Amino acid sequence: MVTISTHSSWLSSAIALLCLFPILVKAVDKSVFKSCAESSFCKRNRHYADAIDRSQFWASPYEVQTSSLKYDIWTGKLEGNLIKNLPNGVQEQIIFPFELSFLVSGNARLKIDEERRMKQNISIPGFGNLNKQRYNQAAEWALASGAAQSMGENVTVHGLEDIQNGFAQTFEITYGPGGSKSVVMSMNPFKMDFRNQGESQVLLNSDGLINLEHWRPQPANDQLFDFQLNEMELNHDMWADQFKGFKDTKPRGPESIALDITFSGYSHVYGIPEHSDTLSLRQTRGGYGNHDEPYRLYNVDIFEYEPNSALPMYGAIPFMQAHKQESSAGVFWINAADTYIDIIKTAASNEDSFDITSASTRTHWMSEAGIIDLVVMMGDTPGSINKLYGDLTGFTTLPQLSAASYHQCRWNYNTQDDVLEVDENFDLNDIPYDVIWLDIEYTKDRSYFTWDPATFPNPELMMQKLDESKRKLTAIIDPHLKASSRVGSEIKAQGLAIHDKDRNPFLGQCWPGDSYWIDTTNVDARNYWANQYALGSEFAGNSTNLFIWNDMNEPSVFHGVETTINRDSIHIDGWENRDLHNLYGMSVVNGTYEGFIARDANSRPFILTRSFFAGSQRFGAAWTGDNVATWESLQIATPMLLTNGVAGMPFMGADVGGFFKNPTSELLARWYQSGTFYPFFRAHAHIDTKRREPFLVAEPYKSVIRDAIKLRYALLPSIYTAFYHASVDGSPIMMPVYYYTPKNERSFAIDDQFFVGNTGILAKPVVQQDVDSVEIYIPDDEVYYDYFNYHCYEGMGYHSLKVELDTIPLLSRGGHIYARRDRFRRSSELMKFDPFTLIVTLSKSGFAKGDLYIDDGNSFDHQSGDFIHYEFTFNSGFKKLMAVNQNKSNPDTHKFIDGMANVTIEKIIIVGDLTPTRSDSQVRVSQNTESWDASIVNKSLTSSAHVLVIKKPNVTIGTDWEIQV
Amino acid sequence: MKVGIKGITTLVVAASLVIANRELADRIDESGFIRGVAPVDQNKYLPIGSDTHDNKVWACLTNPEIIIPWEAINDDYCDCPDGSDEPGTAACSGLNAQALPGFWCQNIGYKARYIPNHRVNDGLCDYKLCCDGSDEWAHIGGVKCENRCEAMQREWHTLVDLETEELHRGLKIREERVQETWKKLETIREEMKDISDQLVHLKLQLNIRSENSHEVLWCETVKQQYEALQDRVKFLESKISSEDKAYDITEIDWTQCQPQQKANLWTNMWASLWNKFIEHLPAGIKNISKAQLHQFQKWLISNGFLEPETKFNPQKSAQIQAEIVKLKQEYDIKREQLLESNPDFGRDNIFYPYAVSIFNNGKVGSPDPGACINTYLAGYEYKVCPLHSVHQTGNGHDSLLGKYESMSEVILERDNVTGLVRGLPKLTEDQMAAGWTIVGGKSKLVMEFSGGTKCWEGPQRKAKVEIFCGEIDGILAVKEAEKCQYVIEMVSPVACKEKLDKIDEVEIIHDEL
Repeated sequence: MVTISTHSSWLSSAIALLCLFPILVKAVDKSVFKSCAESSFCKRNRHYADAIDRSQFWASPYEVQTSSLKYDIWTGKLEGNLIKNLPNGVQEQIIFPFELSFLVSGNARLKIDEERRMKQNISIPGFGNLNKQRYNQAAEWALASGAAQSMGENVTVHGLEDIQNGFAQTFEITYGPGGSKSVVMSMNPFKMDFRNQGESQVLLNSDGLINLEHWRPQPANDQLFDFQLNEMELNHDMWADQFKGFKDTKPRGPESIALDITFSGYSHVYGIPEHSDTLSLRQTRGGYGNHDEPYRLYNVDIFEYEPNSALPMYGAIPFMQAHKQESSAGVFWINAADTYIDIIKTAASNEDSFDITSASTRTHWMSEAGIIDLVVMMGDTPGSINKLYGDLTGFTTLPQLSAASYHQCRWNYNTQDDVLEVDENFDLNDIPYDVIWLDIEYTKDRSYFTWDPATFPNPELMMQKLDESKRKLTAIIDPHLKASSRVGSEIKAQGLAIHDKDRNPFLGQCWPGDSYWIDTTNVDARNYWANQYALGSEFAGNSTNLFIWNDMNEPSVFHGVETTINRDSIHIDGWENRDLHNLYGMSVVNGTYEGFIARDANSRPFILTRSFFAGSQRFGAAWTGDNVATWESLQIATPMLLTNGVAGMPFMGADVGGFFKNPTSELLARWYQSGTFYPFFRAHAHIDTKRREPFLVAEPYKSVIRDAIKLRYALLPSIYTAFYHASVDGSPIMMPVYYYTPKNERSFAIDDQFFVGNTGILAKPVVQQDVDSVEIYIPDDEVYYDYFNYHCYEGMGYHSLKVELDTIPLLSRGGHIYARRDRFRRSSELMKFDPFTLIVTLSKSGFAKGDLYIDDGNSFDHQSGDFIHYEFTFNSGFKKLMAVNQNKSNPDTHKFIDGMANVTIEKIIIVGDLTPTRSDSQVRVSQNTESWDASIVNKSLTSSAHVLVIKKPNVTIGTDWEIQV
Repeated sequence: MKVGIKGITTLVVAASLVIANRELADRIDESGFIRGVAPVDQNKYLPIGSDTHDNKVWACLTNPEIIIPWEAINDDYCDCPDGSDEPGTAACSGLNAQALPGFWCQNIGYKARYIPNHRVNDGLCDYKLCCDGSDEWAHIGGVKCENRCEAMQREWHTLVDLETEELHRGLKIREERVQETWKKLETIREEMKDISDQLVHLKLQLNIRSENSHEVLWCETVKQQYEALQDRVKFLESKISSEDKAYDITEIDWTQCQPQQKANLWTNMWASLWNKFIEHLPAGIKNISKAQLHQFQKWLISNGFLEPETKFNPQKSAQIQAEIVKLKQEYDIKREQLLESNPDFGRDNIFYPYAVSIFNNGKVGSPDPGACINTYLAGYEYKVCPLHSVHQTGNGHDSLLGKYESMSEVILERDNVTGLVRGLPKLTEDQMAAGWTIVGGKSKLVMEFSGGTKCWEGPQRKAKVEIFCGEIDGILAVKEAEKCQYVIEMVSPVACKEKLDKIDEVEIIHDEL
C-alpha cells in the first residue's frame, strides 16, 4: 500500500483523519526522490569521477602503507593501512585500516574503516551520544551465521617480503581450492585485481575513484578554503542539506565512501535490486537506451512506479553479478546506507598492467556512510555465484508448501464473514487456493496486534474454518504503531522506538495517523515485537494457520522526506538511520520470524515483506510493491523477478492483476498466466478497485484463470523442488535463460522468458494485449517440446507460436525429468497423498535427468533428514529410468517418509524417440528387491514427437527404483 | 542401522500387498456396485464386449471410440479423456472435461448426492455432500469418516420446520400490514367519493346561482345536471324494475343551448327540463303514482338535484363557493394520501405506510422518523428510509449513501445440498436474543439507492438495501465490498413471500437390506 487514503469506509474510522492531508499523486513523481545532483554525497562523488576523468595528471592520494602489511596464516587475514594523503600543506595522513580475508566459502572480503572513527576519537558538537564509529554492522545483519569466518587453508601469499623490502609494487595472494583464484594488490596507487584461473575478473579502484571522506571538524562559516579537500573534490553540502523543505543535519559531516569496481571482460551485469528495469543492467551516464541517473539503493515507498527506471524502490540488495561466456563474477557491497551505482560499459582498452582485453563494465559505488566492506565472488557459471553469495548471506528459507501455492489478497476483506464467503466461492467455482489475506482494515483503528471486534469478532473461529480445507490466513502487521495504542505507548515508554535527532520518539504519520516506529535493530525492541505474536496473545491466539505480512517497512512515512524517515533519526547505540536505512525493513521481518519460531519451533513461519536487504531471503518472501493494472506493469514484473533471483532473493512475486486501477479481463487473465510462475503467486487489489476474485470474472476469462492456477498446483512438486534448490544452493526459481545457456551470448539479456527451476520448462507468458502469436527464443541446439501437446521445436533462434486467450507459451526442453501432480484438490495440503506423474523429455542424444524433493511441507523435520529427494536419470542406451533417493540419512524419526509409503507414481510420460525393449507393451519395474510389469499405453498426441506413457508403474515414494523401458 | 532399513522394507512390501488387495475391492463398493456411480447409471458400466484375449472391454462414455479394458474402470488411473472411467476415484479430477456428475454418495437415511471427484479421498470428510462418509473410502492418511446421515436429516428437518414456522409468522405480520394499508386506502377512496359527489352538486348550485355565469358554463352545468338526473333515473330504474330497462332518453342537442336570459329564469328552465325529464322517464317510472313521483322530487331536492328555491341568493353563493374550496382541499388531501402518481410501493402496496410522510402534499419531503430504520454499527449510525434515502452519520461526517432509485424482488438461490438459501445473512447473538428472525423464503427485496455524497478521490456513494423476510424490522449488517458501494442487509416482514411449496424435494433413502 502507499500513501493514499480514503475516508469512505465505516470499517476504518481512522481513515477520515488521514484525509486532512491527502496526497494526490497520479503516478510516480520523480521529484519526490533525490537525483544524484540533489544528493550531496552522490553529487560530490560523481563530480570527483568526472574531474578525474578530465584530468591527465591526476594521481590518487590513496596508497597502501607497505610497512603496515601483516598476514596471519591461521585466520587467512591480511591486514594493513590505506593512507589518504591530504593536499599540499597538510601534513596529516588519514589512516584507513583495511583487512583482506578469505572466507570459508571461498570468497574474498575486503573491509576498509577509518582509524580515527574506530578509536572514536572525534567530537560531535552537541550530539554527545551519537555513535562516533563508522557503521560497521551491516554485515552482521546481512551475513548468515558463520559466513564471515575466514581461514588460511588454500591461501598463499606471494612476494609480501619484496613489498616490505621495497623491491616490488605489487604482490599476489592465491586462494580457493587448488589456488585457482588470486588477487594482485598494487601499493601506489592502491588497486586490487581479482583473478580466476589467472584471468582478471574484478578490479578494484582501477579508475582511481576511491574516495573515503574522512572525519574533520566542521570548518567555521567564514573559512574560505577547506584544507581537507583535494583538488578534485567538491565540498557541496557536507554539513547539512535541505530537500523539499526537509533539513538534514549531518552531525558527523561528510563520511561517504566510494569505489570503482570494474568487471573485466564482462559486458553484462545484473542484480542490485530493486529497480523496475531490465535484467541486464543499463549504463547510467546517458546515451540512447541508457539511464542518466545512477541506479539507486534506498528503501522508499514509491508510488505507482514506472517501468525502465533507476529510481530507488522498496528493497535494496547491493549485490551485482557479471557474466560472460567463460565465467561469472559477483560483488557484494555490504553497506546499508543510501547508495548510488553508476555503470559504464567500455570497449577494449589496454591501460597499465591491468589486462582488459575485451569489453568491460565499470561500476562506481557510492554510499553515504558506513565502511567499505565488500566480497568478491568468482566462478564458472552464474549458478556458482549464487551459491557463493548464498554461502555468505544465507539461502532462501524453504517455505511452507502453502506459501508456494496461490494466495488471494485484497485491500480489504472487510469482515470474517466476507473472508469465509470468498473462501466458499473458491470451492463453489472449483478454483484452488491456499492462503487468504487481510490488509490493514481488520485492525481496530489501524492499531496493529488488534482485531476490530465489530468486523472480526472471532478471528480464531475464522481461522479454524479456513483450516477445515487446510487453508491459511495472512494478516498484515506494519512497524508504524499508532501512538495512542497499547503498543505505541509501550514502545515509547520503554524506549524501543526510533528516535528523532532530538532524542524524542520519532512521531510521524502513517495509516493510523500519529505513529511511532519500532526500532527492531534494537534487540530489546525485537524481542518486544516477537512477543506480540506469542501463543495465546491478544492478536495471534492459538491459531496454527496464521502467516504475517510486514508492509510499509522501508519505513514508509506519510509526508516524510523521500516518503521515508529522516536520515538523522536515531536507532539503538546512537546509529543514525542514514547508517542502516536499507536494512531496517529486514530487521522488522527478523523480529517477526523470531516471534513465530518462539510460537512453534517446528513450524516454518511465512512472512511477506515489502522492504528487503541482502539476507532477507532467510526470513521469507517479498513482492514488487504497488504496481498498476497496465500491460507495462505486467511486462516489467518478469525482469524484476528474474533480477531478484539473480540477487539471491528468488522468493518474490508481483501483485497479479496490478494493485492500482481495474484491469481488463484480458489483462487479468494474462497476468494469472504469468503469475502462475511467480515464485510468490498472489493476487492483490487496491481498495478503490472493483472486486476481481477469479470466481467473479466473466467467462471465458474465468476458466482461463482457473486453468492458470491449476497449472501452478499441478507443477507444485517441481516448483517446490526449485524452492528446495534455492534453499541449498541459491538457484533462482524463475531462472533467467542465460543460466541454462551460459555460453550463448545472445541469451544474456533475454528477460521476457525464463525457465522453471531446473525442469527445462521454458515459459514465455503472453504480456501483450490482443496478440495471436508469440516469438519464443530457443537458446540452444536442444530439442524443445510443447508442454501441452508435445509438438517439437528445434533450432536456436526465434520460433513463432500461435496463441489464443487460453494459451500459455510453454516448452519443455529435451533432457529433463520433472514431476507433476495432475489431480485437482482444493488446496496444496490436500494433495499430500496424491500420486505423482513424471515427465521425461529426451534430449537429442536420448538422455534425461531431473529430481524431485518432497517433505511434509510445513515443519523443520527435513532439517533432521525427514525428506525424500529423488534424482532421476534416463539413459537411452540402457533404456533405463532410474530413481535414486539422495537422502541417505537415517533420521531418528521419519514421520513424513513413513507416511509416503502408500504414495505412488501413477504415470510416466516419456517424450522423444524411443523404442521399448520389449514387444509386449510392458516394462519391467524394480523396487525393494521385487520386480513386476507395468503397461505402456501409447497415446498419439502429436505427429511430431513420440510419446510413450507408462501406466501405473506403482512404484512407491521413498526407496530407489528403476524401470527398464 | 540395518534393522531400520529392513524394517522400512518390510513395511513397504506389506503396504504394496495392501494396495494390491485393495485394488480388487476398490472398484466395487459395499453394495456390489461400481463405486461412485448412481444405481440408475450402473448399466453404463457394463462391459461392451471382449478383446482378442477374451478380456472384457468398455468404451469411454463420451469418447466411445476409446476402448479400454473393463478392469480399468475405477483402477485409480485416468484412461478416458472425459474422465468417465474413474467415477469412484479422484484419478481424473485434473481434467477440465468431466463426463460425470461426480462421485455418487448413497447417503442412506438422507439424500443421495454427487460430490465432485476431486473431493474423493482427499483426506477431508465432506459430510455436507457425503453424509455417509463414503467419499473417504481409501482412508488416506488414516482418515475415517463416520456416517452422519441420520443426524443430518434430523438437523435438516429442524431447519426446514423452523424456516417454515418463521416464514409463517413473518407472513402473518405482513398480512396484517397489508390489511391495514388496504383499509386505510379504501377509507380514503370512499371519503373521496363522498367529497366528489358533494362538489358536483355544490358547483351546480353555484352555477345556477351565478348571475354572471358564462353561457357556455351555464349550459355545461345544465348538461351535467341533466346527466346526473339520467344517472339517477338509471339507478332508480334498476331498483324498481328489471323489465322496462329499454327506456330511451332523447338526446338533447346541447349545442343549441343559448340561454340569453338571466339566471333568475332558471326556474322556468328547470321546470321545462324537469318536464322533459319526466317525459323521458322510462315507462316503469312513469307508471308509478304521482305521490311517489312527488316523493322522488322531494328526494331530488333534498339531495341537491332540484332547487327548491326560486330566488337568487348571493350570500348563499359565497357560502357555496367557500364550501367548494374547502371540499376541494379536502379532496386533494385525500388524493395525495393515495399517492397514486408516486412510485411503486411494492407488492400489495406494502411500503405505503413508509411513503405517506415522504410524499406529503405532492412533494417529496423528509420522511417521518417513524418511516426510517436506524441502527448503530461500528461507530456509525445508519438510517435507511425505504423509498427515500440511506444515510451514514459518524466521525463528524454525515454522508448520503444514496437516494432511492428502484425496487425489485430477487429470487433467492438455494443450495441444492442443504435446501437452504445460499448466502443468507446470519443473525448475531444479540439479535437472536432480541427475538430477531431471518427466513430464506423465496425472494428478497432489493432497493437501489444512488447519487450519494461523492467519495474522496472516488465516485458518488451507492447503496443497495437487501431486505430479507423476518419478524422484526431491522438492519443486520452493512457491507462495503468495494469502496463507497454499500450493501445493507435488513430483515422485515415486508419481504416475506407466500408460503413455500416445498423447500426441496428430499428423497429419503431407506436401507433396503
